[in-house]
Amino acid sequence: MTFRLLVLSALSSLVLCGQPALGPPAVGFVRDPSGAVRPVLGVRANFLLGLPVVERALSAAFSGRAGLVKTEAEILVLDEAGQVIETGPAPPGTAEFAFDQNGRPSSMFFSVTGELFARAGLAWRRVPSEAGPGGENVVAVGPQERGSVSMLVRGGDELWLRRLSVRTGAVLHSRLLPGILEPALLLPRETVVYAAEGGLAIRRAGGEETFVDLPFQADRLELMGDSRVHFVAEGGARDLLIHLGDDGPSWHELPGVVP
Amino acid sequence: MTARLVALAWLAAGVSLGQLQLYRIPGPGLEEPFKGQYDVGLVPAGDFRDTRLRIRNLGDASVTLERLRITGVGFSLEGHPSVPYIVAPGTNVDFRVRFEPPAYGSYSGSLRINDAYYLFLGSSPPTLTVSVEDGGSFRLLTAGETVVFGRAEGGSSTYLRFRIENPSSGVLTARNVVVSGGPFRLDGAPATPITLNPREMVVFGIYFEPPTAGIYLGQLAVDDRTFVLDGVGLYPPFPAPELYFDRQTYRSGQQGRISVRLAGASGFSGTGEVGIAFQPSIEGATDDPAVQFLLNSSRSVPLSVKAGESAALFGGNSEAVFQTGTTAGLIVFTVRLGTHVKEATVTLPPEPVAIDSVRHNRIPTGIELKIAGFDNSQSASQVAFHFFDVKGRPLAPEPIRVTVEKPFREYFQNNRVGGMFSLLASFPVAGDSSLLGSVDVEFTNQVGPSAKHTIKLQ
Repeated sequence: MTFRLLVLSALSSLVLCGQPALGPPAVGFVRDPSGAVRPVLGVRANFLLGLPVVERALSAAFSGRAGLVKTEAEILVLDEAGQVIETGPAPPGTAEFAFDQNGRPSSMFFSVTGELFARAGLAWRRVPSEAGPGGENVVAVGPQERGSVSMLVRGGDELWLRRLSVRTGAVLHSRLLPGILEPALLLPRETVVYAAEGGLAIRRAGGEETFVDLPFQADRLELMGDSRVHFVAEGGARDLLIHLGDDGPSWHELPGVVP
Repeated sequence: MTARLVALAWLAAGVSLGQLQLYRIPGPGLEEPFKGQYDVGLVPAGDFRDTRLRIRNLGDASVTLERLRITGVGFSLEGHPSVPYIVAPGTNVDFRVRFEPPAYGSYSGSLRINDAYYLFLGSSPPTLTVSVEDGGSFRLLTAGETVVFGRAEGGSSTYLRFRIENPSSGVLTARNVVVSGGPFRLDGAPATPITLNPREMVVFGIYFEPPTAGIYLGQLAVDDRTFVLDGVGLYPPFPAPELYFDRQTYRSGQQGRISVRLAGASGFSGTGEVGIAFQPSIEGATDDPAVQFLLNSSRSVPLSVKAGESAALFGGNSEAVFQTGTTAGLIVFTVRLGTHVKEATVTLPPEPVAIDSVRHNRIPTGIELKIAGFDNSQSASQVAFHFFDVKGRPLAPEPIRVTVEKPFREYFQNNRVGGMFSLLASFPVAGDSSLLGSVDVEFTNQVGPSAKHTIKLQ
């Protein structure tokens, strides 16, 4: 069977499918110590921080395709370019966010009120409150998968992975995750990224773990782009980009922002 | 209190000097015959006031000045010639009578010129005195006097104690006690106004804390009187710094680490900086903003050195991380510490295009490739795509070659981000695109072809 492959002349035009054919490479977005959300441009070990797109953010996460940002009173949904495309009211405090496998907003959890929301189309639907963790700390929230939402919950000294029904809020599944430290992120397919002693660890659902040696201990982890994690250490003085590549994780330092 | 002397009639009338005449000089170009007595006026204790006088020989013959002196507490002569002194005809002898009362009260002095006598009167109002501790005791200061703090070496300080005293029988108040100018700091002075009863005093200190080597002048002001503060900062030179890199050579698109070590342990603490200057070797390129230190996203980082240490610190770390950017050229590092300036250069040679990542996206009409990379010579001319099926067989004997010189040149001219780029290439497919297995991507620039980057499309 043969087929033909055609090359558009679009390489010689400046616009292709509504996007420029040539442009600065976008890596993701990070939240600096002042709460400003900034784009990161760059390749490999060469990065530039752009001007803020959102100020005074309390929480932020980006998938490479979309972004979710929480300010004191609002939730913002951003597109791939960092443009705000949706806003909504939000309770005070921080939030945890998750994206699905395609990078679309999937779920969010408000830390102060303990409310969990799941994305349904272009709207957010609250997961019934009886699904709440009952006074335990929610460390991270995962995407919706098969009608349920996963959460990392700390109970005492232990960390649990809980899966809740989006429709009823009932706990469908709960298992202990020994050795997981905070901060931590919950990615699709119950992959946990967490700050381990001496670096960062990626634990998959089957238990297989990959370790990244790092010279710093994480204070904060946030999703900053497609398979990219913003690793903040030393009280915000050191910023790393951790790339969870198919060939294995790698890391580079990011430019710092002096307040 | 000193009693006021009664003026003698012959003094009030003045006594002739013969052919010598005594004048008072009230100002430049002015002179008045001295009339026998003169009231200097009110002068605060510790201050002084000079009265300028002139003796002129009005005769045709020389006159010898055999006696020229003044008696009386608080009075002295300044700038006068030694006697005997011959005054030639028509010439002048200028000198000053200084009134410097040691305490408040009334004073008189008698000026003798040969056989003539002249009366001087003066008073000192009740006023606070200012003294500085010197050799274990306090020494009275006159207005305008310089107080020497001596030398303070490398980060240390010197300290002197001062005293304000009320020598009078009434209550006196200091409205202001201010230290200004130079690295001088008031220590322990009570809040103003300072009210002192008779014989009461306050003691305070002044620190001299020079930040760098040099001569420093400051001022202590107590109400209307000022005193000059003088100190010298001594900073022995730092040991010479050297720049150290974590690699022998660098290329574009890397992060490196720099450290600064001194030739020996430093004798004291201090600060300096390391700066970066970038010189592109590419025609048309003006700068690359990604060439920077990551600590503060800038072209310079401060460093600090502790006494006794030989390694400089950058914000507490022994190394500073920098980016080489994505433009060929020279990075010049300059470390400045004390009087030392040391440079080191990193050369970034032009290279073939570096492909950082290729991501694919299947669209209804075909396939998109998003290629991120950098071209440090900003001269990309062609990109080649060689597609293979799922069995690894090439779909065409030759790659699809696309000329990209013009769009890349325009992109680099309009986007000042160095040599990095993201290219979106779209390939419509007629047929079953699921049979596409992989694609090799290769760029060509003036340096040559890049390494092939293979991406699986399954």
